[in-house]
Amino acid sequence: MILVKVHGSDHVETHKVEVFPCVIGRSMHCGIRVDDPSVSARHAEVHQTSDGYILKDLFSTNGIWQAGGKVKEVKIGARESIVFGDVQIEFITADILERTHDSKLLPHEHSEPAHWLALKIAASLLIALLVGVFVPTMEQYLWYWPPEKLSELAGRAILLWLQISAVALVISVFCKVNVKRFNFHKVLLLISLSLVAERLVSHFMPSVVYNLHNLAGAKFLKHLGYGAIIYILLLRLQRYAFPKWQLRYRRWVAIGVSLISITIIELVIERQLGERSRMADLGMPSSALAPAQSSDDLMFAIGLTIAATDQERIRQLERLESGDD
Amino acid sequence: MRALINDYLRSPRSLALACFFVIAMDAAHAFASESMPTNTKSVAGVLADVFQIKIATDANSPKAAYGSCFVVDAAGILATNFHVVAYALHDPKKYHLYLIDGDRSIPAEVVAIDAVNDLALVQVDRTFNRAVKFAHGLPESGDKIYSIGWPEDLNKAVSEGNFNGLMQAGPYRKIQMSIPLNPGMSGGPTINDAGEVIGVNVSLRADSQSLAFAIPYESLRTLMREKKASLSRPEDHDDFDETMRAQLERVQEEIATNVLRESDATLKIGSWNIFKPTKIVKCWHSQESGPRDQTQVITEQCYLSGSMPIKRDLDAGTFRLRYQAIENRNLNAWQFLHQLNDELEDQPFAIADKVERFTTSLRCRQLDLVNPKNVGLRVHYCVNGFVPYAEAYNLEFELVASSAQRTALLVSGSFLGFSAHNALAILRTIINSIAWDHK
Repeated sequence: MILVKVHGSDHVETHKVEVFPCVIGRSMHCGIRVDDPSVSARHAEVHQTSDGYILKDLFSTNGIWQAGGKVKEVKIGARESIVFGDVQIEFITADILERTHDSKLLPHEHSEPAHWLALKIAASLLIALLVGVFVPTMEQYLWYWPPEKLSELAGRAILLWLQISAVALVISVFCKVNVKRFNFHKVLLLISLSLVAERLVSHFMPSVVYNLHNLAGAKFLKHLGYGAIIYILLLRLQRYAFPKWQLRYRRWVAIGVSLISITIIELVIERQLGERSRMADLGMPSSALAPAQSSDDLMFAIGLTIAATDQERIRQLERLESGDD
Repeated sequence: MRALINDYLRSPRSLALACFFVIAMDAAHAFASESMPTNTKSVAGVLADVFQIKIATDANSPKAAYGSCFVVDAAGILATNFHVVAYALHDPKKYHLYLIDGDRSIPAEVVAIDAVNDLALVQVDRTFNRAVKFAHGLPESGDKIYSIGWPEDLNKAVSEGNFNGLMQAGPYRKIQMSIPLNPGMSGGPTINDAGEVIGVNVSLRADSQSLAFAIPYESLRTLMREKKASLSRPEDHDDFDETMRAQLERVQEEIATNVLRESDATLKIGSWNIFKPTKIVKCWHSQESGPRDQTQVITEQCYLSGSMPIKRDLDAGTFRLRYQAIENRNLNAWQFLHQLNDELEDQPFAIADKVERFTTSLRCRQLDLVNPKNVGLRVHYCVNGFVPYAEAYNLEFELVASSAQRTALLVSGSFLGFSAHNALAILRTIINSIAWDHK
């Protein structure tokens, strides 16, 4: 086991590394994440060998530096101070820990204060909400896609980006969270792709444009895109909520939740809820839920509506009679 | 495009003449004496048979509605319009009828109605010296005729004009005439040169230059014969409801039979084919293109020019249809459909929601379907029913059929006071007839 102390600009983060090899870098997939622009996505890697630990440069842009000189590989001694780009990182092996029992060197249970966690979760939820607000806005834009002129398309794209950047900025200012962590580009791309897919599927279906089935298929594609967005956001949220979970588990949970969400959107919200509430207004049995296919079905539906009207008529008549008495 | 489409149903409609809540009388206006027609003798003879009728909560109430009526039987029977007495019929506990005889208000009672022809007979407890004479035929077109009544609760007035022939729309028959009628003259007689009654003043087309209508005298004579044949006791409130129901049922049945008889009549509008009844409706055709987005709209509006009045602002026994072929090759398919969808959602329904004591609340729904000619349709419809008349409903629908070629057909229509069976039969005929004509 080794301890890794990352000296950031405002605070020091301490990580305990027990699983090897461990990658250090800016990417969220790294064992130790160093959020600094001078650090490459996958910067370096710590290996455990029979005679101690070795730090290897993974062809990073800015390299690793020891005692003022750029190195490819370092054997980690008892206590080593290495510079990654602009960040200083200290490596402390178990030997020295056992000898000194220096409690100050050991990592805290949470490397960040508790209220930070809450803030970040709130930020994630806020983003999810704002994306929800954006989706309809973007749909509105995309209805007129492709626009008559290319300049219009460019203008709309810029406007869209500005909006998203503004939200990202607000979040980063209030929550001190690096906006890059929220993968806005992926979210935007997915929303756009899913909406475009919906349009394309509907477009290339045969002449019956208002046919329910085509639209349902197209909508499913869109919902798949929404599922992916939920997946990304959940993964991000879990990183703060459950930092100790392994990435593998987080992924499964996120996949599960997004699949359930799609199912809910598809079956409950889109198909049933809207229709059912309308039917309930009409006092219809839910067995009349099947979508109309032919003019006979329409006549049947109108018949049901008329029957509901008759019930109201009788109620009104009774009320009138009792009122007259 | 929106501007073109939204002036939906601004079709000319007959305006009831009854003048409600009349303003304070203006004594300086005494214009009856200044314009007596040339044929003074015969017209003056009828003047004495015309009275004013008042609908109010009591005899002295200043808040009242007024109409005209005339003596058809010296034993105390007078004729007027149904829409004049409708308030007193529908709410007999609150509103009462009074015949104004000089300074006296004599209580009157409705004894027979023919709502289809907008006629009513009232009885008063007093005898008259004489009754009007009926003509033995309608005049020639262009002949001079006169309408007598009490305009705006002022003095009794005579209007002079010309007979312009008979108008027949399904079960509704009216005399068309060019006479300046005014509110309050409803229920007064229309007479020929010889002073014989040829009709009963009924309505005036709004925004027109003295284009007025009267009910032909035969309808009134029929009602009088029916009244004589039945028992002479005054019918009570429920009986009138039942009479109205029966009359509405008969009239909508006649209309539906007429419409469905020509069920294979089709209209080509744009690149669409659709059923269009021709015999009993009047249709207007117009073609416009929007200035901004070049949307081509071909519109065909049809309506039955006549209806059965139930009460003020509530008619039944009539229907109207509007077809619109919309085309815009400048938009792409999605822009076009998007616009179309907006259009459909914006369409206001013309049926009033709930009219207290008369209709139930409006129930609306939307459905998608494919008709036998393989055209995909989205249909919005709204239904409500008449409370006093069983089996009478208002059905209003709007549907859109669209092809991938950026042409669409918007159809809207309403059936007022129809039985479910008839309204559905006509709607089915319309929906099943829609076909897209591939060029």
